Amino acid sequence: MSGGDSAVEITGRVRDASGAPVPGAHVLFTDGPRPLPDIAAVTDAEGRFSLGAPTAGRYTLTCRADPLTGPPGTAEATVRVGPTPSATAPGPVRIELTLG
Amino acid sequence: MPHDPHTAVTNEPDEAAVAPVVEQETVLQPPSQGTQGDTQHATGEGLEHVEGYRRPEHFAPEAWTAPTAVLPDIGEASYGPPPPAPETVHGPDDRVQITNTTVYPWRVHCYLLITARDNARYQGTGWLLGPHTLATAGHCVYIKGSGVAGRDGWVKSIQVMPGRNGGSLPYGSITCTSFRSVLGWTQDGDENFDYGAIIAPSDIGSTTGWFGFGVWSDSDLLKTTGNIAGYPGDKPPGTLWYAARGIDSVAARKVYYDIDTAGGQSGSSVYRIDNNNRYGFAIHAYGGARVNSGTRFTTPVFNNYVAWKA
Repeated sequence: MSGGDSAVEITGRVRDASGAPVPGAHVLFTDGPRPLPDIAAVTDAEGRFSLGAPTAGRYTLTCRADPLTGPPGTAEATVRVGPTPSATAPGPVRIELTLG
Repeated sequence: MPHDPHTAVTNEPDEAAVAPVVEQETVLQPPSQGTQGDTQHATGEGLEHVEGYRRPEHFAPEAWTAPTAVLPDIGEASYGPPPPAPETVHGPDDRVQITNTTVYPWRVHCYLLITARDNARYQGTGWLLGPHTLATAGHCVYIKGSGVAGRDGWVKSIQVMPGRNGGSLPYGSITCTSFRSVLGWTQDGDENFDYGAIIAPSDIGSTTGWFGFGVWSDSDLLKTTGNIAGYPGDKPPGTLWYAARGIDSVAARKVYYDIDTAGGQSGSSVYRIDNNNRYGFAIHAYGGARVNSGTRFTTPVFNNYVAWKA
């Protein structure tokens, strides 16, 4: 979900305190190295989400669960996306978010 | 041969579905309050009337004097070193929750549940600007540069939920599969052209009403109060939030403001209130360090939306 250049995928899973996957949670960037599309990812039935990081840098992600589809709660995490050689396809950055 | 980045494109196979863009003298497209439910009157200061809400850093709009010097493009500045952080809520969080979402103007705003080509799901915001047409960000209807195989391109479908309020869907959920954008976004991924439309299969706007839209000069926009309502992902899912502030700066194709937003509000209307009528003048798309930004209604953008609402 970025612009013209190819983004690095930040992918992960949202779980509740018991370790169960959380569907329907919203995951969004709240901090990053440049202006970002103001869109949120929504977790699937397995709690998985994917967001695109358009450039190298430090990103903070916030997660908010939907009490209508699962347990309430929020979580936050910071990841660093490193620069990658242009000839090398960067792999996804993986992250686990546990609701507090 | 270079293309016109405002050339309209669609995901529909029939090329005739894209009406040609005809240059025309700019005129306002009028709003409609719909046929159902109540209408809320705005304040006389360009704000929505929300209990307890007061525009931060209040000043009389007429006290503004438009700068005569050429303004720097704050968006370009934001991309240069040192890199800023996209804290889309700036300073105190001014957003207030709207719960009476069946009242006009709130019922015009729509929660979007987006399913990408690879079935990844995202959430954005759209707003009705005609009986069956919603405006939204280009990146809500066409994914560009995701870095994930099989994801880029027109999204598979969008569930449109007008006036959603948490678990309440007062106008249901409409499955939409017909989308519009422009080559400047779908081919170039240029944020200056990050706008699109959703064509609904029913005339839901006739019930809910819709916002007008228009093109204004730099000096006029700089003394305008910008209003934004949308569905931020950092709040309880599916809840509608509102905030308003002055416009920070304008560029040829963008408008910059420090109205608080968050991920999930891409596609929201950035609108003004004139004589109790609401008119979109930008489509919110990006969160930035000091300011957020949207795609400005210029004459080509205006003309495309006129064609798309037909």
